[in-house]
Amino acid sequence: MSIQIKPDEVSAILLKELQAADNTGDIQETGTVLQVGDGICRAYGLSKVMAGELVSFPDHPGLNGLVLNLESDNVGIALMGATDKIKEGDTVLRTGRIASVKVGEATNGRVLDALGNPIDGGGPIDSDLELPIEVKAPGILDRQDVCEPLYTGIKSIDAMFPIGKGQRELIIGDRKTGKTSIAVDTIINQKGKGVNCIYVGIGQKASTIAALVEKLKEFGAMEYTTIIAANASDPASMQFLAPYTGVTIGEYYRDNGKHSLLVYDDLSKQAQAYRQLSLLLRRPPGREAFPGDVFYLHSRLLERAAKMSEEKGGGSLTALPIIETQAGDISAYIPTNVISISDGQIFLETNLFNSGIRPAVNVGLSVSRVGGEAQIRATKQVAGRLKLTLGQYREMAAFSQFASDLDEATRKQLAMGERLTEILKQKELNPYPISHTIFIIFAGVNGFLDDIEMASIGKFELEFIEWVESKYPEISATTDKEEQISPETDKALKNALEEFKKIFVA
Amino acid sequence: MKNPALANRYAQTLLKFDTKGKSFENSKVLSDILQKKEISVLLKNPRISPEDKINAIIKALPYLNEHFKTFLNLIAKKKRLGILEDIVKAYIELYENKKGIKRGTLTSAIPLTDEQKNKIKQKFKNKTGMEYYFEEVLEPEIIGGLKIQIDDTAYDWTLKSQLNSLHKRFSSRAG
Repeated sequence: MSIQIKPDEVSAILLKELQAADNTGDIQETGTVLQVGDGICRAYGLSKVMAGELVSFPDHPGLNGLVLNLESDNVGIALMGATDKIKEGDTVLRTGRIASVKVGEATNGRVLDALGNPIDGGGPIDSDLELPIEVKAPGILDRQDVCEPLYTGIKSIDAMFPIGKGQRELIIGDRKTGKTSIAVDTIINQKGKGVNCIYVGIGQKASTIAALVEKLKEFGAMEYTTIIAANASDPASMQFLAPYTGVTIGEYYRDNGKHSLLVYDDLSKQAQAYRQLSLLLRRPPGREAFPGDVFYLHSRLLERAAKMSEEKGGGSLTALPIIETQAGDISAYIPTNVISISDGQIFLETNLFNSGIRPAVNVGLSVSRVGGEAQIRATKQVAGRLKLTLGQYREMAAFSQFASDLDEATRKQLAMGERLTEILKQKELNPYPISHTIFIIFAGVNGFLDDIEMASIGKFELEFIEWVESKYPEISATTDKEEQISPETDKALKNALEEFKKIFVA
Repeated sequence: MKNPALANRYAQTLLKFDTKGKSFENSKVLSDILQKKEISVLLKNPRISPEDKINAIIKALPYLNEHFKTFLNLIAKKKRLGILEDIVKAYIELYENKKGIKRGTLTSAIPLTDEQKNKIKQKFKNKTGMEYYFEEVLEPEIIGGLKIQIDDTAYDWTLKSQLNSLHKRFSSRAG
């Protein structure tokens, strides 16, 4: 297809553009580079520059810096890009604005760097709205309690540690315990639910991000997901900034009555990047050499997650920060900080992971402080007993190790506990709708699985859900509609379970 | 300037104790001398003691007043001869600011006539009431227009930057 180009039309457009251009010249405040190294630059001059302002280097187009330190005779600037070309005596220019990022639906499906520039080769972001990345979190009057559930699609989390829209639920655990998997599963589970997802990868390998993009594309999740990548090879300043860029993109949805989910993977790396910057800027180190304001670094970020009041459109921004612990030490500086900021945590353990319990959620240490409010009644009906039974099982299991023969009641309790642990196992990238989660836990806590071989539990679960959906689709329809297990549903479900058990071959 | 805060501190002290303004003349002379390569080599040589360096300078400039000589000796004693040039520059700037004189650089593509220069100076004077002196720089790359730098403010009215901004404007629409 050829496009006809009319010369007079082109010249008319050019003329219009030229007339619209601002040719008045400009007055700029300048500074001179005194010193540069390790991604930090000190400049003399720039006497009116603001903290947090972006500065540019006219000799190095495309390179920006972030003003972090204002001292009596010089300015400390974190460089955001290649620093090897800057030399002493180079000019620094004020830009008069703080870092900002383009937001809107156009960011969906894109991979951006920490400054919001596309790095996926898909051309510029088609949006006219640009927002500054450092803004204050909404106040008390603008918010309301967390009241809507946000399903992760993971049985154990949706049942026991429910997350609500607007909540901040920390995912914490050692390396290789499946932290990212939980976050990715949650993103995939949001398909068709009107939740825009933003994944912020901090200090990760570029190959990991590429693999993630492929995975999300495969599940059709990229359509509603934006990825912000500050990779391990990017300067510390970018890794420090990336979460703020992500939250700004999420805030657009929150403030326009829509829902968004943010994953920060992970905030310990961001804290390390910030520590690097702070130490190079000669700010005094504190505990674990982190600067004094590392708490504020995370608290101001996570405070921006909110469920807005109805007057403000009722939008929400849910945050899933991830923290990596060293050897399970959740009492280190950054983990305790983020635990105290967030509304609960999902604690993953290496031992559980290695013994095949995946997701490796430690039921005792995990908690969701506000999500229970948002849980539907049906989940509460089954999950209350689940938590209690699992708690008793754990206690009993510890004791039974010493006892040689056990009485009938104890054995029964142990059997049920084992089976409940078994049904909470779930494969990666296999999200469960909440009704299925409810069905299988219903079966577990009502003792329907007690006489089924441990090895066949997985098979039973899979086949039962398939069978009940094809034979009695009305059960899940009523559960979804009524959001509770009414006496009728209770009866229907029990009958269905008994009927299925007769035809089930292990 | 390697360490502007330090140079400024010495300069301010000199300004504070120099009630008669005689140090200004001395500084001017010294500033010119310091531009010479031989002197900077002498000052940087680590094998010569600071006392010897300062004695050499004082000998070369016998008409420096006593007050200023004492000041130079103090700098030598404090081992700050490395930033002597910066101190002198900072002092001259401070003194001139006090007297209502501002210095800057004026960059143009072609040499300007005296009338043009006076017009520019007058424009700035009308704005701030200070007397302006410009160091003139010829830079054909700017194509046309003017660039004026005073302290840390740059007034950019060059054709080059206007073309650049046009280029940016057009290329940002291209996507």
